[in-house]
Amino acid sequence: MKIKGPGESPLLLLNVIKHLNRLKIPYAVVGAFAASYYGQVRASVDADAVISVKGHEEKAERLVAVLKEDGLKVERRRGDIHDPIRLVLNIEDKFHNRVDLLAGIRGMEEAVFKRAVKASFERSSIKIAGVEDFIAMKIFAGSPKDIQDAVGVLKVSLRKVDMALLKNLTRLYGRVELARLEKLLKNI
Amino acid sequence: MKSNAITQDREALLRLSKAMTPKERLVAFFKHSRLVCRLSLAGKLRRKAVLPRAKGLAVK
Repeated sequence: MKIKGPGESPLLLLNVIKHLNRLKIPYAVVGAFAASYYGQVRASVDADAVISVKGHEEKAERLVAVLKEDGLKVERRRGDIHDPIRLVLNIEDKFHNRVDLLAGIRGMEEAVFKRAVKASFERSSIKIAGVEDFIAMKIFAGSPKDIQDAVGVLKVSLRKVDMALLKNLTRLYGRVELARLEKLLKNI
Repeated sequence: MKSNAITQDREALLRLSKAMTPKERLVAFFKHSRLVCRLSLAGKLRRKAVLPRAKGLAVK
């Protein structure tokens, strides 16, 4: 996908997804992209996806190499043992469009990649995290912006949400997160 | 802080989002993000052009 200037992080994500598909690295789009797909539209300077590096460590290294071959700046950040995120790849192009790939989120099941839904964007097929996985992740992230995204999704797509699955997935992140979800649901 | 104007604005955005299909919301997200980024960049460039003229002000 040809990127013409700044503000085109979603197109950069499509280019990254091509490499993820080629290397068979499972992924699911999250962030403002998914928040807009399921809920209220909001702008973002970057595009985010979760990826699976479990058993794919060599592929992740190859991914970094091919992204650099494409002229992209790639920064690797590793979380310590207490960090809820094991690895973040910050990918940036010459226009400062940015994609963040997150791996090894504590509490996130590998099945998130199987539950991801196919969507069409700019004539490309992409996989977006399932609505229940997305809300659970947002509740785990817990910032005011994340909670607002979760509320937006619940208000717009409530009928599509499998409540039992959502509660089970949120429980995996912790009791605090489950209580947070229950509180949100009371106000929807 | 509770503002009626903001509450009405949020409700309008919610109604609008509900009226769109997921695909339409993705298109809106892309256009909105592109616009916001370009406005932000235009502001940065303008500040860069104007501020160095003011004495003692440095732009990073």
